[in-house]
Amino acid sequence: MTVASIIALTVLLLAVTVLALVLRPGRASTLEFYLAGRRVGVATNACAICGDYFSAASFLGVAAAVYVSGLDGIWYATGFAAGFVPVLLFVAAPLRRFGEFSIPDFLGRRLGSGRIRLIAVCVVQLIILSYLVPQAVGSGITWELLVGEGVLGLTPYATGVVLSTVAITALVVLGGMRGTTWTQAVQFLLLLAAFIWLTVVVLGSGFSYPDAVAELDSEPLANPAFAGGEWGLATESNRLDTAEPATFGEPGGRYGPFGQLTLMVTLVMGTAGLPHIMNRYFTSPTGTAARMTTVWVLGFAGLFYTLAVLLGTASRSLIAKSVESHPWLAELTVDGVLRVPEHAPLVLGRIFGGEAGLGFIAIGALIAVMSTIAGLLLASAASWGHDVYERHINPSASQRQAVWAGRGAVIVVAVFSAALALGLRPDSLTALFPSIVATMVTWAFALAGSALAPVFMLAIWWRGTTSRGAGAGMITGAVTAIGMFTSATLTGDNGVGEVLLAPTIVAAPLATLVTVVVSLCTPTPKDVDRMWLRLHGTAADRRAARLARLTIAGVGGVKGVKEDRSER
Amino acid sequence: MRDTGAPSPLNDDDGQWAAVIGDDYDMPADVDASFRTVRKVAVGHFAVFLCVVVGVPVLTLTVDWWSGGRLIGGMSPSFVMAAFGLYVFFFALAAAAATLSNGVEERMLGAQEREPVDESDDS
Amino acid sequence: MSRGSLPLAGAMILAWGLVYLVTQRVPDPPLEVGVTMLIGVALTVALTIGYPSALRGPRKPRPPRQPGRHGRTIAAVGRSMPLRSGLTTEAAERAVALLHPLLGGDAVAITDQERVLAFVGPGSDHHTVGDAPQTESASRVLARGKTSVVRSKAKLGCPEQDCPLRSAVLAPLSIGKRVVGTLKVYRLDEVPPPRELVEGLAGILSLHLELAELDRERKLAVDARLDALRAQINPHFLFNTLNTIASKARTDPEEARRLLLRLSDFFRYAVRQDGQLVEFGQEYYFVRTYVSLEQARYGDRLNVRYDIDPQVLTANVPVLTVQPLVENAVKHGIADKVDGGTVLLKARVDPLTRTTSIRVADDGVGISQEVLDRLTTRDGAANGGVGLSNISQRLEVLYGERYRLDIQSNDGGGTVVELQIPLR
Repeated sequence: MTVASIIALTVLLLAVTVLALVLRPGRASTLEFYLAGRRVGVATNACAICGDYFSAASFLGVAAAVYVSGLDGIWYATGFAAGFVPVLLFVAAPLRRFGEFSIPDFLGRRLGSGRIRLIAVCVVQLIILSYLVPQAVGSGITWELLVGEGVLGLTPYATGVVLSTVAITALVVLGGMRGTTWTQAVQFLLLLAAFIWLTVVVLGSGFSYPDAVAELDSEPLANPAFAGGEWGLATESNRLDTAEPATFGEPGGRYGPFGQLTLMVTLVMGTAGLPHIMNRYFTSPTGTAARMTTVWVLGFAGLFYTLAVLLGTASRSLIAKSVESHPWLAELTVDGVLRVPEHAPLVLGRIFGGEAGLGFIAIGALIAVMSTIAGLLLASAASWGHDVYERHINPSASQRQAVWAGRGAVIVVAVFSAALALGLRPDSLTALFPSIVATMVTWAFALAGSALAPVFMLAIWWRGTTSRGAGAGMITGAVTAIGMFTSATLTGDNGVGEVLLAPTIVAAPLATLVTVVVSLCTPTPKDVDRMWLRLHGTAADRRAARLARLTIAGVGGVKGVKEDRSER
Repeated sequence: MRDTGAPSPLNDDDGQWAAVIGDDYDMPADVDASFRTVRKVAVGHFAVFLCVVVGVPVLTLTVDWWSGGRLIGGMSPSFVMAAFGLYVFFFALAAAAATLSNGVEERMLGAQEREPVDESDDS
Repeated sequence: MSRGSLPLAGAMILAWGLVYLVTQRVPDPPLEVGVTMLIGVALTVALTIGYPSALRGPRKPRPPRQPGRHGRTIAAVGRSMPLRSGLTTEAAERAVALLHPLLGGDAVAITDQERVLAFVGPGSDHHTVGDAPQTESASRVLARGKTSVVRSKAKLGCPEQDCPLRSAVLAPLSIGKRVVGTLKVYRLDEVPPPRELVEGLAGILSLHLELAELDRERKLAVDARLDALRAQINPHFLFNTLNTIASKARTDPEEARRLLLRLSDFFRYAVRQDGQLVEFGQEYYFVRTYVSLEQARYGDRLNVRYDIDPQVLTANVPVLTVQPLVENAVKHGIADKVDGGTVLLKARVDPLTRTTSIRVADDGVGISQEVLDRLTTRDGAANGGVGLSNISQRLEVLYGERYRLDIQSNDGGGTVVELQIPLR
């Protein structure tokens, strides 16, 4: 590890520590367990959303996808970032202004129906599970690769799953949203710091991005494959033009003519339906702030993914050159190409930072997993504790009881997902690792984009939406998405399978159509105007802004508010 | 309960405080108007977004230069777009849309920034 | 948008097609992509910028400039119009500097009725700017309004003994028949400067002063109309609103308080606006305030629908023009209709033709020809209503020929008022 990279690392870690101290929260109460008291600043909230959003799929997966398929691998990152554009345009501000606890609660209130709330809870739980399980699997595999030892007689894989689940569950149960808002923000800053450090040392070593692309482009793209009992490099076939081999800098390495489009649609639509991301919006102080938060998120995401793509390219180019000087690479690579592409950022960290560098990046990966799990568990808790327990099982519950119900739900969901992850343990670990994590995350996006997002946007922007319409739409979207996905596993991922694997492009329009048709056939609720005042009016925003100004105006005012709160 | 605290601006002039709060009220027709204007902004920006996002794959399939040409070193226009361009575009689009929507709501709902009330009392 | 954007889009498609043909099809090998893009983009930009002026039609050719030494000929004085903005010290100084070389005199001065505004040439040490005119002849000219020629130092009557000025021509500057000042040209010898020249120039300057006065009067007239509009905020409206508030004070005090606040907002806006133009957003706020007050009175009978482009909110519109249109729609359209109706306010900006268009439509009873005539002809109030003539007169001063105000109304079928003004 060179002096320069030590200095860079130290400076970055110091910066993160300072930022963490600046963002440190105060005390929390009931409303704040789920929603951080709705007083979270724009930048902090943006960081927290990024922490929630950037899972292992973003931290390791994007660089790995670029490493494997070159240009076509970038589209994952683009889709993840693009997803926030519709969120900003259509969802952020009205969602915050309506101001409920969670997506099911929002739909239930907006459409005036308890049944729609329960349907939404089911969909939300499905999405959370399909997002949660791959994260647990990922952390199990990371533990297995990095530590390789189990404790208490468990296998290394099971140790990873159990340990990460227990740690995060404890954090969520004790901390609540306010606690996690802060930790999520700090965790994101750490992730970003890891990438910035890696980029700085890579560029400092004389790496030229454009030249590397040119160099990689000069020969066909080949990746390790296990064939005939031994490892060898196999050239990737070009899915756009079968006559030519695929290359790093040109399309065709991963997607056929429509694959890229269907993936984009899935990721773009999906983000607006992710419960743990949408719940974050309820913590913004105003609708206007929710909008600005999204702008910040897009800025952060753009920076993060630009670096991820650069690092993917760098590892493709540099690892092959480093095999001779770093003998430990031999067992990880085949002719200079990594067997497990997810190792790319980790290996890069070790090449440039020694064991410390590897540790830093590995911690980054684990943090990415943990912060996402925390966000998901919290969303699940809000959904069970608030939407089911408080609204349906025990409407007269005290706030204390509701919070405990939520905590109980967190534990149950965590145990359930850990059990699923243990059961799903891939047999041939190396061959399945990239696909199972990425695929299951895509599945969560597809489900969110097909079942939740269309109904969500219609409920916000179309007065005529009725609860029956929304229910029919959600069920249609979910069933179509699940059906297409199941049939995709049977057909494989070529041709039609490309569309089946990313079902949003079919399921979302279908769900929209069903919602509209059924809504037109049922009577519109009468108090839509009142709903509209809450959804699209800024009266509450203006009041909040004035309150904030008054609070800032005099220290006495601040004191008054705090005392007022502590008495409650 | 409030009186236990030290005298604060919140408690001092309760009358004016209430008057200020009461003014934060939207008329349904006004909300409907700003709703439709904001919807115009959102749909307009979304159309641009869609054109670009769909345009990139379409260019890949139709124009050879898009993936065959070289802009910087070995990077084709398609690569540059995917690696940097789109993120910059998303951010610019988001910033523009957010600023415009916030501006629209500020102008179409609530009072225009009002001068302090006591100014007219003095004169 | 209807008038502007479609043809432009067509033109663009045509241009790109042409570029494609010329660069990709005709030459062999075809031009490089970069160059082609450059040509295409340049063409697009040129089209977009040139389009609005193309719509406005060709510019009238400017009057050809006279060759020769500018600022030295009498024609130059006529063109540069130093006194166009009125008889002020600054303007007078410019005028004197311009006139001094071509009057054939040694010293030139301009005075108003009380003091010297500018003096150039020998003698400026004691004929200082700001003093009262010292010579007797000056007061004579001011009193009689006739040119006077002085041929001797004695008659000049300068109190200063060493004054080098010997002869002078003094010509009055007048607006109409009122003498407002003098133009004086002195010489150091006994031969006075040519009288006709001085008189002629004084005539030109007088004309300029007259124009300046006209300008000022016109602006005053607009302000007066605006004041009239503000002052005539119709008492019926005020009484009705106060009645509504009074009746709500018992049943719904919260609502009454809200209305009272709105009423005060309404008057504050109407009274406090200075300047001719405001952002549409401000004017829209005024309309909203007005409508919410009227809605309190009419209840469900009065519906309003706004359809407003985001861009229009920051466009400038003449102050107090939109609300009167809405008020007319409420008063003459909805008020007399038993089951009420809807007023639609639609505002658009066409960035290509650079126009703002505002349209106020209602589905009320419609305005009869008779009332319409009264509204459009009589200045000020017609049955407490706001005269459309007031608006159109102000628009004419602000925009000249470049605005449109159309009213269509048929009995029983509602009214549509459409206003188009240049965007600026």
